[in-house]
Amino acid sequence: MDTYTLITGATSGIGHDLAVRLSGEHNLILVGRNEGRLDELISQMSGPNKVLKLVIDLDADRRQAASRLTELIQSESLQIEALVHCAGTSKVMPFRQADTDSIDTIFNVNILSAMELIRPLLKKENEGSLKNIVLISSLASIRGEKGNAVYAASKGALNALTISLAKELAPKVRVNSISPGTVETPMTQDFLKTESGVAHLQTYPLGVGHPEDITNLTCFLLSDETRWITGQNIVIDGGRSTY
Amino acid sequence: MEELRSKLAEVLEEETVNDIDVLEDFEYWDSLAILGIISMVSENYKKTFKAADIRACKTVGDLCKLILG
Repeated sequence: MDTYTLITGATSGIGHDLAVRLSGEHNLILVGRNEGRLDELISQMSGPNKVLKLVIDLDADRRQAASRLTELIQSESLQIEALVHCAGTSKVMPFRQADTDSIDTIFNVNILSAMELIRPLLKKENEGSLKNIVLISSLASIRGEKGNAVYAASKGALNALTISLAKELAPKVRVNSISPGTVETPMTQDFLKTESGVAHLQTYPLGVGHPEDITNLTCFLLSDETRWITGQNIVIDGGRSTY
Repeated sequence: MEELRSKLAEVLEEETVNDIDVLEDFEYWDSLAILGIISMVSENYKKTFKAADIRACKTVGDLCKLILG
C-alpha cells in the first residue's frame, strides 16, 4: 500500500514551496480550497511520485475535514505517514476591533483544521502508518505581535498541541512545530511594502526569510536524521529573537 | 461616502462621525486606530496606506478624501 505525506495550505507560500520540493521524494496529498490552483500546482510536478488533491475550505468546511480525509484514505486505499500543516491566515487588526467571524476563521484555518485532520490519521483507517507531524506555527506565538493577537493566540495553540501530542503519540509519531519569523509570502507581501513592514525588517539581522528556508527545516524534521527530536517548537527567524 | 464614514465610526468606536470632526479629538485616536483604519481600508477598498499618510489627515473629511481619492 502506498504511503503519502499530506500538506495543507499547499497552493501558497511555504506550503507551495514544500509541495514542490517533496514531490521528488514522497507521494503527496495536497490540501487547498482552490481546485484550479491545486491542479496548476500538480501539473508542474513531473516526478515519479503520485500526487492527489483534497479540495476543502479549512474555514467554512472545517467540521467536515476529518470525514473528507477518511473518505480519501478509504477510496484510494492509501496510508499517510506524515502531515505538515502549513495552512494559515491572519487579519491584522487592533484586538478591540476583532470580530467574531474573523476570530472563527483564523482559529478554524490555523489550529482547529489541524486537529480535525490529525484525528483520522490516528485511527484504524490509517493502520498506524503515521510517523511524523510538523505544524507551522509563528514567532508571534511566543513573542506576541501588536495588531495580531488572534493570529498569535491560534499559533500558540499549535505549540501547545505539539507538546501534548508528542507525549501522547510517542514513540510511534514525532510531533514538532516550526515558528518562523517574517517570511516573504503572499500573506505578508502587502505588509512588507508598508512603512511598518520596512521598519519591522530592520530587526532581522539576516533580513526577511523565504519559503525555502522553512522548507529546508521541515524536510530535516521529516527525515530520520531527527529521529530523537519530538515535542519541540523550533524558531527560525534570521536572528530576530536576538533583539 | 456614507459607508466609509460608518466604517470609520466603527473603528473609532463612535456612533457617527462627520467630515468636520478633528481626528485627534476622538478618544480612541491612537496608533491602534491608525492600524485599524489601514486594515479596514485594505480589506474594503483594496488600497494600502502608510501610517504617516493617515497621520497627516486632520479631519474625518481629509481621511475620506485620502481613502476615496
